[in-house]
Amino acid sequence: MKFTDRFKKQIHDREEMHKLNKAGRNGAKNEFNQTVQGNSLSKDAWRRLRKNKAAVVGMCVVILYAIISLCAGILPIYSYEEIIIDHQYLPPSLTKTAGELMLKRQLSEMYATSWRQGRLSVTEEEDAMLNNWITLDDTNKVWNWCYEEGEKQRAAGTYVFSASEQKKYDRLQDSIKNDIQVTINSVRWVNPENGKSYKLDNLDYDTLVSIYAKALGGIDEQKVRTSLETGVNSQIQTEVKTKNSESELTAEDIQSLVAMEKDSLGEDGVQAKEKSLAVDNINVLIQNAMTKQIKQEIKAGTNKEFPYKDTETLFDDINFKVEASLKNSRRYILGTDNLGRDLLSRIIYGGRISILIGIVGTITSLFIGIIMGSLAGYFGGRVDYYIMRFVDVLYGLPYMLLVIICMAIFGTNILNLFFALAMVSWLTIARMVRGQIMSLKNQEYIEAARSMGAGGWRIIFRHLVPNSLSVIIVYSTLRVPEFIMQESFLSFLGLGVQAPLASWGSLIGDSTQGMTKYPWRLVYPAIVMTLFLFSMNFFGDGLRDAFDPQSKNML
Amino acid sequence: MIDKNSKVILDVKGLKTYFKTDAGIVKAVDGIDFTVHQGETLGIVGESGCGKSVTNLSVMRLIQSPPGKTVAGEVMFQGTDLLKISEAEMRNVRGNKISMIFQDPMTSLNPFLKISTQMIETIRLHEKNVSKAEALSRSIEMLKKVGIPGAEKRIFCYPHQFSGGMRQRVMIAMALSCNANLLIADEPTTALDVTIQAQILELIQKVNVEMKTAVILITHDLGVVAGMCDNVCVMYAGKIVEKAPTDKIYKFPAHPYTEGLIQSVPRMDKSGEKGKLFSIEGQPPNVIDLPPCCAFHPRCHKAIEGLCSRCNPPTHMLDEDHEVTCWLYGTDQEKSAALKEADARQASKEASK
Repeated sequence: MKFTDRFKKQIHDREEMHKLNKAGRNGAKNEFNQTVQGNSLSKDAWRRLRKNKAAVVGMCVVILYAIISLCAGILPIYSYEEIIIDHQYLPPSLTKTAGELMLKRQLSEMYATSWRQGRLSVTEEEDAMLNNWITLDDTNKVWNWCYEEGEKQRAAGTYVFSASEQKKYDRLQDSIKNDIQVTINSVRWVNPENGKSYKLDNLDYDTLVSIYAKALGGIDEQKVRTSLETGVNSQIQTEVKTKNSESELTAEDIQSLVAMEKDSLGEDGVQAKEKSLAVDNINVLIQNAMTKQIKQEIKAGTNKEFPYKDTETLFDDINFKVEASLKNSRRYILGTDNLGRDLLSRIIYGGRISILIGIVGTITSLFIGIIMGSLAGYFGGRVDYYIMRFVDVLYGLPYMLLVIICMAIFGTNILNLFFALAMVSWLTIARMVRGQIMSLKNQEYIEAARSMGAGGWRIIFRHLVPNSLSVIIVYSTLRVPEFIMQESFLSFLGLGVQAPLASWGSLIGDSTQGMTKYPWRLVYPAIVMTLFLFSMNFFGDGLRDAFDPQSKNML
Repeated sequence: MIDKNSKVILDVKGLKTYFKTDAGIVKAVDGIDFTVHQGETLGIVGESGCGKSVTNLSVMRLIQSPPGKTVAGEVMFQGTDLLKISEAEMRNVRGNKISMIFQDPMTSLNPFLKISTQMIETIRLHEKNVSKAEALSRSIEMLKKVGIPGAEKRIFCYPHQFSGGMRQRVMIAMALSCNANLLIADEPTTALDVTIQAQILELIQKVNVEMKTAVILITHDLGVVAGMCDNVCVMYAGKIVEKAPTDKIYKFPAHPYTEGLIQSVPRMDKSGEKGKLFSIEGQPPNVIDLPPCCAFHPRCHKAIEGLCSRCNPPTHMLDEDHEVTCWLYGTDQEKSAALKEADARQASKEASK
């Protein structure tokens, strides 16, 4: 048969199939001419699930989380990794901008100092109260009180700034009005010979050096090379120093250690480091140049609308996108963290990673667990014995310890985290699937399938696994929050995701320092995480009840 | 009626299937022989636990191993020994050349898959070049043949939307969708009510006649056997005790067990003494610890004292096609020879002690 003929036949077959399928779906008639609607187990389960309010609410919340996480990139939130040191520890506020909050903080600090200096007039009782607060370590209260009292007195004219205070105040006011934050994105180098553009990371060393030299104002390339070399040298040196901070090293020791480190990196490794240093430096150069340029424009009186977005070219052939905004007119709904990063976007991006870990971990462990469990359950005998003994042995080991060791050996990055969590979490699923399959494999329809000539794999994956799917689905929905908890625990210990990436666990872990002073850093991620875990559990429970019509706790 | 000269398609010789259990070895099938011709319907009858189902599962090589194992014998199917071919080749025989219908239609269809999926799967498993649409239309045809109303639509239903009788029809349709040469029906009507029973049996008979499919019908219902089968094997404790054409077995039951079975079927026209129904005394034997030699002798009202419990009964041909394994038909010479042998055996046993 010719290929085209075969193709036509295939299409024809498919159409035919489709027609028959459709005819079947439009309601079959039974002997009594009543319409019979196909109603599968999953449809039935869905009907039951809808009756369970808690589960439906849980499902909605989970879906909401999923949507937010998926859309994190296009949501109007600040970057989760942009560090603005001026904005550190800003409290959450719906109405006030970062500038106002900074001003308030500055003022309360000034009033508090002047109270200590005795320039703020307070009664004896109030003085005692403030001192009491300080002994109780309630600095927030002191600051708030001082701020209110100071503002009152300043308005009434009984309090006047000193000269240095006035200067500080003016400078702050000025920076609030004029400070801009410039962000540089997608920096690309355009090859002047053929007009193609490249990412800086993908360029070779020599080109990068020449670009860097140009950016520095056309200095000698050899100088650039040596400066990069010394830069990398000092980088390695600090690394070595922090590694061996306990032992006292002489300069010579350090020199030899650096040499050793360099040897182990090899020439390519060192060059890669130099490259990344050059890329970083170029980025900084561009950012500084742009900031300067925009500031000058403002001073010159050009009216710029903020936020301002544009594509610019610097140093002849480097293209990049620039984004400038008034730094202090930002609003941080959920406050900022110790590096001035927006907590809201960190929670959203953190949720993305936490949920991802929950889902990927569950899928991986399901994958391994189903295969191992069904092999053990279906083939039985020796296969079963060895797989299950292996599972028992792994069960016996403290799994958190295993994960921690795994992370410590292979390094802490997300992939290793997935791997480590999946490695130890398939055990329960394997046991469960095995039990299910053992009870199902003696069913008559399995024997019937065998009598029709189906092979082992076909029976397992076409007949046995789908039949135990309801249990698996339920278990995996209950499994996701568990993974999130485990990941949070690891992140809390500092073994999970590494900065600047965030996860709910790492956010909570970071926030434990200064918990009383900056409670929002702990409270919001905790609320968000708890809400998700709750809804996931409700949803899972609902699914379990829905898939098991005999279950006693029906609603 | 079948033609005597038609081809033999299944020839079972000396088949033995044992199960290893904690209590000992269960000889579920202990050396049985039978043949099935093309287009023949063979009935296998016997009490529960006498090895009827195990015989057929052994033929299909569907015995779970461990604990079960077919230890001896040969199963010649169209010239090949099914016990010797590989598992892959065996899979090609199952469903394709030999199909099976199970006792309980309620559980023998996968509840998770639509009827269409299951039927298409069966066809495509054996005929790889059949497209899905083709397989579907063939399945619909089969469903029509077995009398499912509105087959075009009903095929997309799930098994639980079908009644028991319909499911059994679906099973039959599935079993026949690859034009199998031999259909093994393992008590196909036990779980169904009487009217549906009749329909299903009629269907099997129709298939048997129209498609020339040989049928092995396992049942303990003698009425069904009388109506359906050409030949009958009566099994007791893993052995065939009597084998004959249906007419002969009902007219002249030779083995006391067969006789008992037939008499214990209630009949409208005859009643036993004092209006009581005849029943075979005692319980079916414990298969782990069978009575020595003829396993039926403790319950047999014609047992010969000192002979049946000591010597294995020989097989006699009462007619050219009527076989019985019982001492009742042995000659005196045979009996005395067997007794002598038994004495010798016992003596040697005691001597060795």
